[in-house]
Amino acid sequence: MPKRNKLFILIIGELLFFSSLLIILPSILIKKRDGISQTSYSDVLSLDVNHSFTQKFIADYDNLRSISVLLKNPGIINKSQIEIETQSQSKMVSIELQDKDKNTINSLETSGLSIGDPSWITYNFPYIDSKKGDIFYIKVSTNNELNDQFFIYGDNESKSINFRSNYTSKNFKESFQKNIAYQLDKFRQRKIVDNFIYFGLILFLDILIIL
Amino acid sequence: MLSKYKKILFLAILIRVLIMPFFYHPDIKSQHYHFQFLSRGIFNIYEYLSQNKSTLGYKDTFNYLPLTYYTFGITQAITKPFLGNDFYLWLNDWGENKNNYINIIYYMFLLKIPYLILDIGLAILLLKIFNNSKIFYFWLFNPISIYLIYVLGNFDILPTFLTVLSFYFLRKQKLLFSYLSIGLAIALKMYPIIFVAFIFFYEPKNILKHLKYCCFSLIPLIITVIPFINQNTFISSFLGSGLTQKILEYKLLNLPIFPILYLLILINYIFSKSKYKFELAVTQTFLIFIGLVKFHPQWLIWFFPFILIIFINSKIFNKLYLILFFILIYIYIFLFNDNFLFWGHLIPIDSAFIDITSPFQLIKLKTSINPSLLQQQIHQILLLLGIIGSFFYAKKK
Repeated sequence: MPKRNKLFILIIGELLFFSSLLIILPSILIKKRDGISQTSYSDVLSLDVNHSFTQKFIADYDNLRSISVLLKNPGIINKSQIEIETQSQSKMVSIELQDKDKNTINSLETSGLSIGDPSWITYNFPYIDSKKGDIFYIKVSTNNELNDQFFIYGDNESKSINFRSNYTSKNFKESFQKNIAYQLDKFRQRKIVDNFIYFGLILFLDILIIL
Repeated sequence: MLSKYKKILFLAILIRVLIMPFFYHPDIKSQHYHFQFLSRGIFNIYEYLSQNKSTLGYKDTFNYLPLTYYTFGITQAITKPFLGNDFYLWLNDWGENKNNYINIIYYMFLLKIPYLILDIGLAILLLKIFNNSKIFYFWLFNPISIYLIYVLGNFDILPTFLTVLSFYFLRKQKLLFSYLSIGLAIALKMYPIIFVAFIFFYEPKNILKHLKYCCFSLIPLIITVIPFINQNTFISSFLGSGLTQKILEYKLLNLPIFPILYLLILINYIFSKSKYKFELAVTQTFLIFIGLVKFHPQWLIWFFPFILIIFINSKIFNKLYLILFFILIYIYIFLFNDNFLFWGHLIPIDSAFIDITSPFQLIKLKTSINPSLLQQQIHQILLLLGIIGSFFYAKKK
């Protein structure tokens, strides 16, 4: 077989390897993807009827499917089960997802019993047909009058809160396209010289094999 | 001799270069997290970690021997200019974003280059020892050693290389070098001590000669450990690694089984006349070790070069037995409730891989089977198969 053909076969094999590992496998397996998140705030802010919190974010992928906020209910550990139930059962925490005009899209009401000390409360909903770049708001509020029962992690000055977002792919085609875009984006972010050395080394080995 | 294998070697290197960047295990990060302190002038890692535990991002102790710290600390210092500053950001990040660094693929590639050199060196060593191209090809192209070295990314390939080097010198009757090589391996990781008895009794008629040199197998360990021997931080960190406890864990009538079976293998070895008696004894030890010890996957590499020789020289039935044994080992490994032993290996490609349901979770969610119980049962089958296999190999001439 001519050397040129051998090199061609090797390169085709390598391209198949890279596309299987980097594009096809993730497209089949990864259905959910974590998006923008803010997890660094450590101020514990009181969440009561007079203090609600609204956090703006810009979607970094299509099809938003869940949001999470970091809440704290200290009573869940320190008090007996009966005390917890009487204190927390009737008191609800509401997590609302709002669009750019602050119209409510989805909302979740959760009892104090489901809040840990602290815990991420995730609100899963049927995915929203949203696009990357869409603006959303997360509003967290409660009907609790006491200011020492529920807390939220955020920044005392800006009143921004810790949150996470999660996105989904509707089908394989969309997942495939997203993965190509994701890998290309990662590739571009890496140093050109690193990419050049790695792929140059592969080509050099290819040539050594066929010579 | 090597020139006719040139293309094969390049192909083997190419396969490894393609695989190296895309597989990760947290051990490679935690080990290099500790190794970084050498280039910061920390010579007593045990004491440093104990004194600074509260301020360090990664709180675990350094459970390896001092020579491991110095060897890989120096290796990391040499690689430092190629790794870039981001590497140290990643190494010291144990928070939520730890898996989201875009350059993880290049860190994996660069950190595994020393393993690549040792792996290829080991293939050449096996070719030199046995002068058999089949062994060379099998070492270079078998998926097990590729998984153990490049997917798990553990440094155990270095003591493994030194163990095989020791065997090479043993066959050449260069006993001083043989004991020094195994000694260096022991100073890096304690496990090769189980091979010392096999070296010592390799030629029972030359026992006096062996007696003269065998102390060299402990000299590197003694020299490197002496400065730390009185320190509680070193003793508690080192004993935390747990190999000794794990070896003694499985008991019958309050007697630890592994040392007893090991002794039987050794007695059989002393009287064996087989051409492959060393390789057979290591394979037997491996077969009972796997069944009796709650092993870490990377420990398989310790025995693997010798098992491969037995595999190649076996008849089809024995080959099938070893294949079945390894399939069961892999099922056992994949049933750990640790996604970093399955999908988590792929986080250099996409950090979302860690959130994919692991085989453990899948069995738990979709069936009524308890995956931990299933894993225990597989371990028991491995024990049974291991003991049967070990007895079978004991009879082999």
